[in-house]
Amino acid sequence: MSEQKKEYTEKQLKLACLDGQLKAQRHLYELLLPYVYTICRKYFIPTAYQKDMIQDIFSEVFMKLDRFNPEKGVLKTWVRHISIYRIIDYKRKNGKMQILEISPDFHESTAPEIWKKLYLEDFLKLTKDMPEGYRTIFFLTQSEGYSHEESGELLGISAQTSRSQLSRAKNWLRKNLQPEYIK
Amino acid sequence: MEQDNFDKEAPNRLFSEELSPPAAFSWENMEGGIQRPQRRRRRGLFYFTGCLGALLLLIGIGLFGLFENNHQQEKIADNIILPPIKNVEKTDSQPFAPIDNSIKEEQSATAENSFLPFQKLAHNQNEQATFTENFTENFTENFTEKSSNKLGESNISRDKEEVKKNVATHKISHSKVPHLALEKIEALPILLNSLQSSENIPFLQKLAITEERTTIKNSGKWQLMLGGGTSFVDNIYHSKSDAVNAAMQPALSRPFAYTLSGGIIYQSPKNFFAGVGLRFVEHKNLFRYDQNENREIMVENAVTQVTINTFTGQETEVRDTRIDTEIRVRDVQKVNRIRLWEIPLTAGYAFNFKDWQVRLNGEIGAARMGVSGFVLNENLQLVDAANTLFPNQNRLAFFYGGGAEINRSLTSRLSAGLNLRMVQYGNIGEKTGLYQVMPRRVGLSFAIKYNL
Repeated sequence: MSEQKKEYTEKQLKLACLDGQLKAQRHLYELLLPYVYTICRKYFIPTAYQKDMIQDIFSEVFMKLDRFNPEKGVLKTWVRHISIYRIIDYKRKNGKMQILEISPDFHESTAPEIWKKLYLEDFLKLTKDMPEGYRTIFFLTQSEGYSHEESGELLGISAQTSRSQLSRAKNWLRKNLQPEYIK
Repeated sequence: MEQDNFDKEAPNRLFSEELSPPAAFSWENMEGGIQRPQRRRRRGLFYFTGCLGALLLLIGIGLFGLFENNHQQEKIADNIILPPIKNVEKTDSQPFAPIDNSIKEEQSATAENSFLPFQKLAHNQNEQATFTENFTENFTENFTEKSSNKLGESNISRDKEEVKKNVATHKISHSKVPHLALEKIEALPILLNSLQSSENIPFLQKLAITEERTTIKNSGKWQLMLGGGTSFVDNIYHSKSDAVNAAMQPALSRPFAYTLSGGIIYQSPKNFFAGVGLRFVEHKNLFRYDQNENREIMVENAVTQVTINTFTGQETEVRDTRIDTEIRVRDVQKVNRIRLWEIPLTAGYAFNFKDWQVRLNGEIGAARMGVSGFVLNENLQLVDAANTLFPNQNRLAFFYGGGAEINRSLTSRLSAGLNLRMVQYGNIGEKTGLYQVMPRRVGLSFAIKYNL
């Protein structure tokens, strides 16, 4: 017989986790794990390091949980910020975050209809060889909803560079999107 | 427009997807490396200990209060066992001269009035002395000769307060007093025959409640027991591998355990006893272990090959993505827990020393054992104990042991004591397994016993 899980509100979950209740901590972990794991996959954290990254992210989530205000924000959004900061920090330390300043000679490109049939797993396979800078900007702006100003501040680049990186990412995708990858 | 398609379609559908994490990222596998607020166990321990102590105290006070209430009722019953002796013709010159009518009315109102002649008697020291002489003479001549076989040696009280004191001092079971009184009543005709002429009859009432403890019928007794305490355990997980033992035992640190028990005991007239009960024991060990973990780090644009031209001595580097392995030491903390539901069968012998009692006992029993937590495998890697030791985490086990306890009677029905016990479990691990789960533990507990 499966154990019936207690339903928590975000406020209750926060207080129970800070109180050290194991069940609540586990509940929070299992609630957010798919989300955090997906973020790690989107930013191509190496498989060997994913476990450490997830543990580091959740350690920070648990230890800084007192700073989260359920009345002002949503838990997932707060956890997303922590995850992104951790990932960017990791990439920066490992010298992977090389974004070249590019002159704004880009133009907005069109996207194919193929987007409608694409799934995330396929998309991650496709973007495996995508330059790191393109991919990061692409996900930050398109997936996480950061503005170019926010992305630029996060990565230490200008907003204009962020825009150009996004444009190049889209161009790269258009060139490399192969129908055989699509389910 | 197509730009709009991209910006809308991709984020809305594609990026709202969440991928399923692999099983390796389950909470059980990950929790060791996640720092998180810990529950304040110390407060919990004190809270638990305080509650348990308060519970035992309340039970003790409750039983004591209940007993004291019965005690008072029995005291009254003692006094009304024999009805006041009336219609005895006496003159004013006699020790027990008839009292006036008003006193007689009071006498019939309450049972306590049966003692009024003594109060009156106390005012006349000379008459009392005469009375005592007469009574003692008659008693020693008639009562001891005719009924010594039946009653044995008796105390004869001269004062009501002394009688009460005797009862309290000898801790006569008050529930027995009415029966003792009835036994005495059987002897009353003999005494009456011998003492009627001496006009000391009212004293016979007192004989009913001046019984020596030695005459209490020594029958077996049943006891209810309730207790709790702590327990010290030695090597729950005994491995066949010395290396594993060496690594495991330091890891099992900061033990904490508690026991709760209850049961029923029968003690025979010859002081042998046997009992059966239910005992719950929980051991918790903080398992702390330094885990070595290899981590692969991808280094881009790293030197992967160096070619040296032997003629020119020129070095040529080849750069590519390189994967380095880094060893990371992680401090892993787990709580290992073992829970035992024991059904002990106890037997032994009790030595009585006035208010103290020492019991020596042996016990065998069956138990349901549940383990959870982590152990190390042959490679000294952390593994789930539940998977390694018992697939279903629970096993039936047997145990044997013995101990000693010292009790002190608090009242005639209530006693409290300390119990020291050693229990050895039989091996319930797999014969081919790395571990044998055969804890040996020493328990120290406090128990309250209530005589039924």
